[in-house]
Amino acid sequence: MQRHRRFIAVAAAFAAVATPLAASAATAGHRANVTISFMEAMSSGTQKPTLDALTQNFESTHPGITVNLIAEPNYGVLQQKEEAAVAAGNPPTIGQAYENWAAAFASAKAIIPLDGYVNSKRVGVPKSFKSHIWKGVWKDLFLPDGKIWMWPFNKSDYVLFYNANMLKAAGLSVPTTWAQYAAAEKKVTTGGSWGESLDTGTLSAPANGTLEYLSMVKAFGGTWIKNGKPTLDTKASVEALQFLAGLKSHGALQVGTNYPEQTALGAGRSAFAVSSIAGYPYMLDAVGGKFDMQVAPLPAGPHGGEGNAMAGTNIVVFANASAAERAAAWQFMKYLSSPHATAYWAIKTGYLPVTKSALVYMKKYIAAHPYQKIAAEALQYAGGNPPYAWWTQAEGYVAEAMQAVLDNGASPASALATAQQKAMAAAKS
Amino acid sequence: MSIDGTIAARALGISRSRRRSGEGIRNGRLAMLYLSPALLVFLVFTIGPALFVLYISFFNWNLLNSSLSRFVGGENYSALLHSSDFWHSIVTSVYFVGATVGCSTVLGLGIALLLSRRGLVRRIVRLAVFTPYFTPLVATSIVWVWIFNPQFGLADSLLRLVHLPEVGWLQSTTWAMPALIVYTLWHDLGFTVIIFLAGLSTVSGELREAARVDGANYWHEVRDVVLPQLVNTTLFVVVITTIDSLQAFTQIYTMTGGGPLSATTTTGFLLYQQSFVFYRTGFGAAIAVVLFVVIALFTLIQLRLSRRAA
Amino acid sequence: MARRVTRLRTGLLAVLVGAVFVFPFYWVVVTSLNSSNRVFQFPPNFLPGGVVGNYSTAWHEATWVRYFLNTVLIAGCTVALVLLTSLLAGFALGVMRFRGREICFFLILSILMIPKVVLLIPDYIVLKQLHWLDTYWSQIVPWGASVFGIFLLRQFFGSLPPELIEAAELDGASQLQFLRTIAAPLARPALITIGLYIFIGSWNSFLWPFIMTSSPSVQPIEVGLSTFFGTNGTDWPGLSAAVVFTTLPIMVVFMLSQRRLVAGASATTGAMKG
Repeated sequence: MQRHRRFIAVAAAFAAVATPLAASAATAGHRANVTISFMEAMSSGTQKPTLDALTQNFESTHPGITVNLIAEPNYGVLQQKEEAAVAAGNPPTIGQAYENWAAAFASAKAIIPLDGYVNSKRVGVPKSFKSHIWKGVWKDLFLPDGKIWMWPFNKSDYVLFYNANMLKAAGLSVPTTWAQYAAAEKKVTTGGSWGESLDTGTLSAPANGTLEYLSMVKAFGGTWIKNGKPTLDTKASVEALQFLAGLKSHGALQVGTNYPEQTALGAGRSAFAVSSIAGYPYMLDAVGGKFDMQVAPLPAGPHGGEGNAMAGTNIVVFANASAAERAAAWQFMKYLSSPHATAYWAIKTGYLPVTKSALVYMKKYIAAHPYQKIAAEALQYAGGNPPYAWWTQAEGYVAEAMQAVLDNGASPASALATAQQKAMAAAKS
Repeated sequence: MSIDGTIAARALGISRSRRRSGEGIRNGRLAMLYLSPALLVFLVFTIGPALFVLYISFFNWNLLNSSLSRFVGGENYSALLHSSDFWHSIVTSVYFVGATVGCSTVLGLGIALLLSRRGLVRRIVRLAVFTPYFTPLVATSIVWVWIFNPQFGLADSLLRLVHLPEVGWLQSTTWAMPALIVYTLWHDLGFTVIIFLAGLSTVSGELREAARVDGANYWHEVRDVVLPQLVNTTLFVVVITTIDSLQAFTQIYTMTGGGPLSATTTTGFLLYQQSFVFYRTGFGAAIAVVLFVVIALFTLIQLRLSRRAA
Repeated sequence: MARRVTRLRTGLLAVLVGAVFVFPFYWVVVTSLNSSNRVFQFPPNFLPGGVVGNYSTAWHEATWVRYFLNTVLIAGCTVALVLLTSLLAGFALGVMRFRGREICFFLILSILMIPKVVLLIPDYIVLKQLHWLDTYWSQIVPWGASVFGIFLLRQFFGSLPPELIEAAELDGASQLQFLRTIAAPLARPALITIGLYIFIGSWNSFLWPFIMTSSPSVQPIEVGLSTFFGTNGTDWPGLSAAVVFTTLPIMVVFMLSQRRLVAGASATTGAMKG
């Protein structure tokens, strides 16, 4: 008995010492593992599995880096989570962010500029990348201080979905200008059908309708901001809102909630729907094969002006990350924007590739879905969210102005004057 | 501790000296000890944070990086008093709370009266009325968002079926609040009805019988016999529904986002919007402090009233 | 005769009322059994479409069993904690006599009427310091004391007949003994009502667990449900299916225990009359 016990004791002691030694011997060959966390809102439909696949592929080609995806259900929650995390001092390594969120984070010194990584000889992007990335997307990465603070990930812009059967029945061709569009909408408004449905959203959550309007403002030759201050009541802005008000009073435009453009088009009640291209799978679902749904670029303005709003986010790197984590995060971000990866992302989710050079890998897909090329090309001139923290509020005031005009019959000039006043106050504080 | 034992003890005249000497059950010496678990939770998670909120109400507080905050004294408060958004939210809150509490009490009593008789049908309907209260808020408000969907939802479809003009419901500045109130009532009436049913079961059956014999019809019976006996119950219902509706948030967040045009932005929601959507944390904190003062005053009044009625 | 007509009329009215309350649930079930493109039809579709696929899609979207267990665990622990704190505090405020009793009660009552949403950020910071973020603790302890519970028990204990207390004193009972063996058992109906109220409150909590947690392993069911409000559209039939299996369990629990609950409420209100 005694000998037995002693043997066990020695064996146990040996094991206690040997195990960690053995373990470290096994890992000695590896470099230290870096884990980064990515807070994102790509959790619905095909977005989640696609991001999972891309992440796994990255991890297998970059041993030593582990990426934890923290998926939130939508952008509203994502923004709150990121804010709360920054406020409490434990943000993720990287996160999706709109330009105005990035502006707020940057002024709070919560994120870091990326120039060092982008322009680095060792790990930076080649010059060819900078020339092939869509111009609108590239411009969008900068904050007013001239530094690069964000890196592109999921981009989309607005397109015109339409019911081809309905247009044919009314003897209409696809409108290429907003004026033609108005005429077309009015023509199809009979009985139980109308032109389009939109949702302006609310003060704290502007929706597709607001971005449709903002795209129109650009097309009509107007601006959203100038010299870092809002310009919500320019002549073009008033014209564009008057345009929508006219359609509403005619009954050609209806207002609704919860993606009414999808509902109305899908139910065969509206001829048109203006939505982000990322809504394509949902549109298709709502239509359910009942009729021929097609996609066209947004119409041009009265003087041929093209206007589009870029939706989707960039990625920011939070300041709490260590040097190793930042380096690893940069590898991941670079990977996501590489032509192969961004092509795969676009094909699977309906978002757009961030660079022209991805298009060669998407030939078959584009042949079957020509609208993707249409939408991607609009990224050359599409405008992203102005990179100012006060834009969140300003956009909300635009949504409110639209509500006042479309729901309550207020005059566009006065509604926009109010919006401009409130936005200026927000821009000052 | 049998009752017989105590009667016997009293009969033997065993003294009450222990109570007089202050060691009785009512002795408040250890009161703080008994209160401490609750107070500990409050202190750490409510009082402490509330004091912090009070503190930051005097700053232009930078939520993301507190070291960049600026002391501004009473500026947030004066901005508040001059803010039309704030006063509008007060009116909206009064609208929401008043309508919800009023309808909840009246409808709750009415439905309880309707369901207070025996019978299988009554029992099944009672179950139906209670059920929404026990279902999750997010889940059920989603269903109603969809019922209230303009043009395509059930509510507008029903209006169309009876040839009434369609209404924008959650999109309309006039109808968004009524829609919200309808949802809140649908969800919470179950609780009110339970309380009233319980109260009704304690109303003296004899008095009601006597009133009926005297020739009173149903409404008189209710008004003159039943209601006076339900004063305490009613007050309880009013207090609880007021507290609940002052705290309403989830359904506003899910159904209207405070819109359209701030038609459903109660003061509680305004607070959330200013602090967490627009980053005006100091301003939001000032709203919180004012809201607290208002609620405290209201509670005081209600307590006084209930004491007088009891 | 008139009586019977009235009874019939009120009976029909009762059924109508019941139908109004139940209809949204029926509507959800119908939609969950339809396909996306038939969701917003006119005339509205009152009949289920037999598309059972939505349920399996929705089921696979999230770890529902885990969410459900989390919710039950959190709610159960919260109820236990609230009953404990409310019993003790309600007893102190309702039975004991001490200076500042009324002020204490008033302060507690008014402080807790602040909507928790106000305290979200400071509480997040506190919980982070305690390392309770993304745990069950952050969803239980901050909710462990309740105005409602303390209010109700204070009323209840305050209306206990003095003879009862005197008798217990004469029998040599200490405060704690009195509370444990006489007062608490008597308060059973009130405790049931409080437990019910707190359980529902915990079950319904949404914004708080959202902000305080990020892993599905500790998140409750309402959080799981919100994942259906997607970034570019809403999957209505999937959402309906998810709504059905998040509300069905609680409905079943309720139906099985409703008699107890109503009895509890009765006794509570009865006690309050005094």
